[in-house]
Amino acid sequence: MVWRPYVSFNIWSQFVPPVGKEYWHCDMKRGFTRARKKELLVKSLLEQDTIPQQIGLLAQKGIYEFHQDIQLLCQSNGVEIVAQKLKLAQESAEVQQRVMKILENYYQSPILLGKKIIQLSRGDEGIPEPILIQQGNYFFNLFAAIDCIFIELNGKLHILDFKTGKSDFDRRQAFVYLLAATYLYPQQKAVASFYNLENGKQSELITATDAQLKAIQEKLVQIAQEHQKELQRYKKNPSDFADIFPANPGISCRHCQFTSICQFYQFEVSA
Amino acid sequence: MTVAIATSPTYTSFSEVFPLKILELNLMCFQLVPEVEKKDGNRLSYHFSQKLPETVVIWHKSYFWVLAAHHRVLPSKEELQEALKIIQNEVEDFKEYLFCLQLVSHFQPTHLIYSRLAIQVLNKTKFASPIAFSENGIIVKREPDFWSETLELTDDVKAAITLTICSSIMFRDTLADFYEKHPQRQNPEQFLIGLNVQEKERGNNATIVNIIGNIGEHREELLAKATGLTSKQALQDAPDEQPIVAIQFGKDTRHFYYAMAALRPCVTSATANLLGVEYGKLLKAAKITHQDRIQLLTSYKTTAKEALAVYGMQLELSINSRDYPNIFWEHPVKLEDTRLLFGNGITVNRTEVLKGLSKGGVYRRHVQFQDKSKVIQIAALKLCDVTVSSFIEQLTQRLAKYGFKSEVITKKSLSVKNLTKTESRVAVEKAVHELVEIPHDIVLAFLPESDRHADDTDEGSFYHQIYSLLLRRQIASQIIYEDTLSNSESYQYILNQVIPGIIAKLGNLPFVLAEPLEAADYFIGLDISRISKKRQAGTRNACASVRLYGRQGEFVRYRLEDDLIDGEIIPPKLLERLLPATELANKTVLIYRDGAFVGKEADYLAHRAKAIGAKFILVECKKSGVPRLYNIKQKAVTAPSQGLALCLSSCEAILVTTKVPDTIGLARPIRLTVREQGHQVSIESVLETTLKLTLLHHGALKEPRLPMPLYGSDRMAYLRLQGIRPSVMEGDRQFWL
Repeated sequence: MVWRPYVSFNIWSQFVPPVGKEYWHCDMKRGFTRARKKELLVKSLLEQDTIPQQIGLLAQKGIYEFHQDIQLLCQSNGVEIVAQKLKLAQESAEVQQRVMKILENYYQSPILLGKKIIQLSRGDEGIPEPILIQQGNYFFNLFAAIDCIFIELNGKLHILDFKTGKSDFDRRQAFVYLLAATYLYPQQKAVASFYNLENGKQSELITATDAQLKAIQEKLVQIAQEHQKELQRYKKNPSDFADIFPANPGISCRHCQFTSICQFYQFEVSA
Repeated sequence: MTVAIATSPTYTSFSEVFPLKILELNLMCFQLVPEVEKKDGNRLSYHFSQKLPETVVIWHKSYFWVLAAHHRVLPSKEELQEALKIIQNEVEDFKEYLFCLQLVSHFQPTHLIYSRLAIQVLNKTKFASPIAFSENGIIVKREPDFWSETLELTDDVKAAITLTICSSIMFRDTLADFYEKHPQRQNPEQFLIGLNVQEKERGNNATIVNIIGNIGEHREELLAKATGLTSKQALQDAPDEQPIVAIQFGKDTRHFYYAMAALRPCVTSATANLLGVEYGKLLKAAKITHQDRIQLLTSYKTTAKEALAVYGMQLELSINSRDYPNIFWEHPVKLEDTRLLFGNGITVNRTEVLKGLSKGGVYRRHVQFQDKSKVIQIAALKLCDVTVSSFIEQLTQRLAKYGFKSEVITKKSLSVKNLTKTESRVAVEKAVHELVEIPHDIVLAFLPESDRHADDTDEGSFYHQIYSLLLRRQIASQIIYEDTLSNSESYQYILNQVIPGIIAKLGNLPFVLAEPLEAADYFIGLDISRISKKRQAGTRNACASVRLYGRQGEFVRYRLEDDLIDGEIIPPKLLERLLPATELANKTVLIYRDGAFVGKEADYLAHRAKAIGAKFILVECKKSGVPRLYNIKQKAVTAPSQGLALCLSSCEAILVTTKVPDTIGLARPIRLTVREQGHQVSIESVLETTLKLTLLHHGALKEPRLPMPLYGSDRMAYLRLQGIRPSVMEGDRQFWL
C-alpha cells in the first residue's frame, strides 16, 4: 500500500481544541501521542486504557452484541447475557457499574431497533480502511472510525456516533463523518448525530452543505500537512521537542496521561 | 465660539499644560529611617497632608518634602513626629514600624518636586463639579483632573501641571441605598460580590470580594481601625443587620472592610440597567462640548490659581504657540497626502485607498491566497431584522473586483429581541460556537443598532462578546451595524470601509508606505503583561507579544512568548526568542512599548541590543494621563489638527494622531517618550514615524490612535494569560484588527 499523509478527526482535535475547551489544549500532548508514540515509556502510557476509554469500548461492543442477536432486546435476561459476552465481571467495579447501566439503558430504549443498519462497528476492529482524498495535487488518507450508519425512512444515510461520559458533543466529528460519507456513499445524502449511551442525551441532526464540506476538507488538508511537517521537524531535531510541541502547563495537566514523563507538568497547589 | 483666551495672529494652538512660576516657598524636607519604599512613602505623605493643616507633603526618592501655606509657620520636628505617631496609630500597616524622623538641612528641590507639590495642593482643593446629567440617582459629573509635568525648553526647565476635564459617571447614593432597594436583597452575595465600587472618601475604585458579617458584630473593632471620616461616620450610622463588605483595590491582594454607606456602586454597562438608566445615554452625557470644556477649564484654572497662590506658586498661561512657538510641531505635509504603495507598483494618496486597490490590487497576497482560485469562506451571523443578502452579494462582488473569490458558506440568524440580556448572550455564544466548528476564514456579524451604544471595549456589548469568542480561536471578524444597512445606497460607502479590513485580516497586505521610513530598519510593538498565577505560590506569568513591521510599514509577523518570572525581570531567554539576533543584528529597531517600560525592562532591552550589535530606540507610548491640545481659528477654539504635537522636552512629546468630529468629542493625544537607555533619535523623527505608522490600519479608512505596531497589542497576550495557548504562537495574519 502506498504511504500517504493522513488525517482524522482525532488528529484535528489534537491540533485545534473543541470550542470552549481552549484552556485545556496542550500541543505537547499531541507531541507525545503522535511523534513519540514508539518510545517505551510513551507507548506504555498510551497502552493503558483509561477508564473512560474502556467504558466507551465496552459500550460500543455491548450495542453490537445486542444487534448481533436482536432477540436479546426482548429477553428478560438480555442485559446479563450481553454483560457475560463482554466479560464484564473481569473489569473494575466502576467500569462494571457504568457499563451495566449503559446496557440497561439501551435495553430500555434501543434506539437502533427497527432501523435499517448498514454498518455497526464492534469498536475493537482497529484502524479503519483509509479513504483516499485528492485536493488539487495533494493526496491524503482520511481515517474515520464510524460507529454506526443506518438508513432513514426518507432514504438518507444517518451516521450515528455513540458517546459515554460527560463530555460535550464536538460537531466537528460529525462533519468529518459527513465528509467521509460523500466518498463512501457518493450518491446519498447524509445526516449525522450523537447519542450518549449513559445519559440518553441525543444531539440534533447535523448536516453540512457542499460548500461547508469543502471548507472542512480544506481544513483537513491543512492539518495533514502541518502534521507531517512537525513530525519531520521532530525527526530531524528531537531536541526541539518542546519548541515544536509547546506545552501549556496548568489546567490542561489535570487529565493528561503524560504527566509522569512531562518536564513541564505543573503540580497545582491549592490556593 | 469665543472664550476668554488671549489671542494674536500667531496664536494657533494651545494645550492643557500650565507652567508654574515659583515665587517664595515655605519648604522643608525630612527623611525617615529606615527608608520607606515608594508605595509606603506615597501613602504616608497622603496621611501627613491630611493631618497637617494648610500643609502638603510629598515623597520623592527617599525624601519627604513639606510645603506650607505662606502665612503659616512650617511644622516643627516635634509637630511632624506627633503627626507620624497619630498616623501610625491609625493605619494598621505602619503600627509595627519604629521610625526615626530626621530633618534635612540642605536640600535642592527639582522642578518635578515643585510640580508634584502643586498637585498635592490641588488634591486638597475643593473644585466645583457641575452635574451634566441626572436620572434615577445616577449622575454624570464634570470634574477636574491634574498631574505633574516638567517642561524642558532649550534655555530653561519649568515645573508645570496638566489641568484637564473629565466626566465621572456615578451613583449619587451609597451602596447601602443600592442594597436596601435591591430586589435580591435577601441574597446579597448574588449581586454584591464582584461589584465594582468607589470609595467615597478618596474616590478610589475597588471590587467587592466578600461579605464578612454584619455591622452589629464588628462595629467597634472596625471603628477602631477606620481612618477616613466618611468611613467612621458610615460605621457609626449603619444599622446592625447591614452586611460589611470586604473590598480589594486593583492588584493589591489585601482586603479592607467597609460599611456600605462609605461606598458607591460604580456605574458600568453591566450595572446601569440594574440602576434603571440606559448606558448609552450616560456615555452620551459624558461627552463634553468644546465650549463647555473651555469654560470649565477656565473656571478650574481660576480655582487652581487661587489655591496655588496661597502656597507661593503662580499658575501661568497655558503653553501656547504664541509664547512657545518652538515647541509646537506639525507634520510638514498633510498626512492624507502621504503616498501609499499597492500591487503592480501603483501609488496613490492615503485618501485614495480604493482607487489604489482597483488599479493595482493588494500590495501582497498572503501565502494562503497566492492561488487566486482559493475561495474566502465567509460565515454570516445576523442578530438583527435587516435583510443582508443584497449587501453580502455586493461584498463578494467587491472582493472579486480586488482579486479575491469569496463565498458565504454559513448563514445564521438569531433573534435577540425578546430575550433578556443574559439569555441573548447565551444564545449568541452558542451561535458563535456553532459557526467556529466549521472552518471559516472570517465571520461577518450584523448587529442591532442598540449594540452601538455599548462601547466596543465594553464587555456588555455583543460586539465585544463575538470579537472575544472569535479571537480565542484566532478567527477574524467584521462587525456591521444594522442602521448602516437601512439604506441600500449606502452599501458602497460601508464596503469602502470594510473591504480593505477583510482583506487584511486574512493576512494580505492591501498597501504599504510608498516611501520607506527613515528612523529605523524595523518597527516593533511590544506588550508585556504580567499576571499572578493564582494556583502557584510565588510565581508570576509574563506574556510578551511583539509585532514586527518593516521600513515601509509592512507587517512581517507577530510573535508571542511567555515565561514564569519573578518580579519585573524579563528573562533573557524570552528576550532572545522575541528579538532574534538572526534578524535584528546590526539593525536599527524602533521598539514601541504599550505604556511605560516597567522596572528594568528598558535596561534589559538595551543589553539585548548591545549583545546582538543592534540599535534599539525605546519609545514609550502612553494613552492615559495625556493633556489635550486645541487649535484656535478666528478666536474660536477648535479641534486640534491631526499631526499636531507639543514637545515637552527633547525626548517627550504629546501627539494628536486622530481626527475626531466635533460631534464625537475631542481627540485624545498620545504621549511618546524616548527612553535614555536606548539609541537616541530626535523626537521629531519619532513623531513623524508614529504618524506614518497610524496610516497602515487596513481595517478602517480612519486612522487609529496608536501606531500599528501597538494597535491591539494586548489582545493576544490577554488570551495567553487567560491560559489559552494558541497552537501557533507566531503568525503573519492580523486577525485581531
